[in-house]
Amino acid sequence: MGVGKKHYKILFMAPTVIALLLTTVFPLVYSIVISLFNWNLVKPDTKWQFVGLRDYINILKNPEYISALKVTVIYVIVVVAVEVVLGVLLAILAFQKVFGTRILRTVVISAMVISPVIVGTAWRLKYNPGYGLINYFLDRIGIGGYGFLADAKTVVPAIMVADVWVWTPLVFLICLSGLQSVSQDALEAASIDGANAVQRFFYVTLPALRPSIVLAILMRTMDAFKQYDLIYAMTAGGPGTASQNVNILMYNTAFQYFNVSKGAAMGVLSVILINIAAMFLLRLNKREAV
Amino acid sequence: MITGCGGGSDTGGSQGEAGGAETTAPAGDDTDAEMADAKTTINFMCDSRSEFEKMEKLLPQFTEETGIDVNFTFLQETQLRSKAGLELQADKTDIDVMLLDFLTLPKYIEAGYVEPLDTYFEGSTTFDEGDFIPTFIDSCKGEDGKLYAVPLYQDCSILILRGDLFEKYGLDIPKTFDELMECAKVIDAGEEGVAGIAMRGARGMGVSEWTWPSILAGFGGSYYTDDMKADLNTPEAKAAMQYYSDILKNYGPDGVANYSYTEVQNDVMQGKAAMMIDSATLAVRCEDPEASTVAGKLAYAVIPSDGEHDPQPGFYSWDLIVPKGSAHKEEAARLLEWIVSPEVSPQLGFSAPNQALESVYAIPAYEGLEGALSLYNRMEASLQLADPDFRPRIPEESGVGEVVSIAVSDVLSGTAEVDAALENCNKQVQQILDDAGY
Repeated sequence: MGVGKKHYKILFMAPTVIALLLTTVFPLVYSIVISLFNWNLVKPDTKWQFVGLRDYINILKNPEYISALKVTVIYVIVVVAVEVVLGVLLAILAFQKVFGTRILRTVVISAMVISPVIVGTAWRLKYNPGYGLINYFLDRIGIGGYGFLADAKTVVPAIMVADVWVWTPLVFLICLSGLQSVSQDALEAASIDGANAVQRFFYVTLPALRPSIVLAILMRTMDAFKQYDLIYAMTAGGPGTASQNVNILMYNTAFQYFNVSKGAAMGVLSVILINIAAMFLLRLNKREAV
Repeated sequence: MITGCGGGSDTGGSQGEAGGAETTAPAGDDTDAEMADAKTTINFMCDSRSEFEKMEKLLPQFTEETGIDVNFTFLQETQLRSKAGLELQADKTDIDVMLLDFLTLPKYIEAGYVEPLDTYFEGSTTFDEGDFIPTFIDSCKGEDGKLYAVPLYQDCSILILRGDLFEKYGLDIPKTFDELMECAKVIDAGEEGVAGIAMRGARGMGVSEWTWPSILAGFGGSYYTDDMKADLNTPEAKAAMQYYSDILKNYGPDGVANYSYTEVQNDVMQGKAAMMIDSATLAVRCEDPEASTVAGKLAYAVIPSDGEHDPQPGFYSWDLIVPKGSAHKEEAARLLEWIVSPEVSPQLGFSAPNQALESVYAIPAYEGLEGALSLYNRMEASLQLADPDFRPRIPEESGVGEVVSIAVSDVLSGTAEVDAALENCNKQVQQILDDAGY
């Protein structure tokens, strides 16, 4: 009566579209706009001074940004690789109906539900050379305490360990649900054809798991690129700038130095980079799936 | 009393206003009655600390007196700092009272984001500028001389040392950097598992950049030249950095390049470090027998210098302000007045006004060490020396502080040599100054 089918569609979609516009599209567009100005929070008159792409050029010429980008890229590659390998292995282990797998599932997931700042603080204390848990055990086996977070060479790997500890469970969960979809018939058929366990894994299970793995890689890549709270709680980017990734630099620029426009420009650059990585990953999946 | 010792004109000014404040003000009572009818709720934004927890418990008393309800928003310190900037620059904000780092206050005052308090405090029976150390209350004033904030803390850096160990090794309280190094060396060598000294090494404005500037000034160095050029690659700065690196690498705890105040305080409380230079406020917890293994064993001293220059203890405060965009400025000012009153503040555990400082910090020093004086006594002496501009309060300080802290952290972690770290630091600081148009 009065409201046609077409209108219903609009009516039902409206809340989602409005929410998306407000929470995603508007901030993104606004970020792009302010990245073209000279806005500094403590200098009210700078807000609408147009500077065009100046900030982008300055950022790309800034060795601090390049070094932060390097930290970010290495961080993403290493943690995602390790987490995917461990996550897949754990999932396969948990999928075998062996004694204790239920407990394993619960234990593994619990890491993920703790707030990242708490995880970071806990790991910072664990790494403390004086009274930290890790160094206690190292001490016991005769290696002795070491300030992993205070050494520029060991700080990033030390943070990666914490990241792997928190986020492997996500990969594990995604792959575990992927495993449920592996056809038992195919496995049986392969078995009858004489394939051993290793062959069954590489030729049946793994190909069936590929969509889950790609999803996990995609999600973890985007999240690891945006890693902030864990690093902030553990080192704040230190010692020096050794563990400063793009997000720490961006946060400091925008909210500590209050150079909002420059911070926004870094954010836009991150969006571009993450999108390129995502497109690359999705394309890879498509090509191999054919 | 502390207030008597301050500079002439400042003390004179505050006494003048104090005189006015002592007259009774019936107008204030009228406002009371009106507000009791209205029942306003004001929003208070701060970080979580034990003082505010105690305050929540005392607040019903305030609400009963004034009819003003207070709603707390607790944030982590980092979030607090960034949200403060965002809320203040908005034309209207829900936040009526905000906790603010004193360092950032001048830039917000200059930008016109902060409400002056003088008119609200006129006729107050409890607020008296004379109750504060002049440098601290002055750090809350704008260039126009108006009062824009009230300080909750009168904090400075101080040397905290293990009186029992000093007694054991027959050491005297160090007055110069050389003596400090020697004390650290003796205890570090003598005591198994005890570092000679712990200080902050982690990056971050106000982290290592809270302790090191005092060492810098103690060697006669400074951040800027008189005509505002970066001055951090001087022989004095290099001597200060070399000293900081030597004492911490040789006699400090392992992993000191990632030490913030938490680690420094923990090490002392667990008996793993014999000395620390850090905020005097941290001493209170170190003297709590339930939390600390060294309670009752500590002694206090003004931080050393090179012997030629005056010691330069770090200056620190957190202030309460009323944002310009608040809709309840009058009520917010009443709350500020209540919190820093000589009656309420000591109950909460703050160190301003002086009545609170005196009662909260009346902690005696370890008895066995000759010449050791109480925490309050040494704090009072240090606070007189503390200068709010020991890290100059320019609007760009958050950037400069970060850069300086990175140099400290790089040197301590062995990533860079002293000369290279400071040359690079100086260049970056100059860049920040250039960009800002100095």
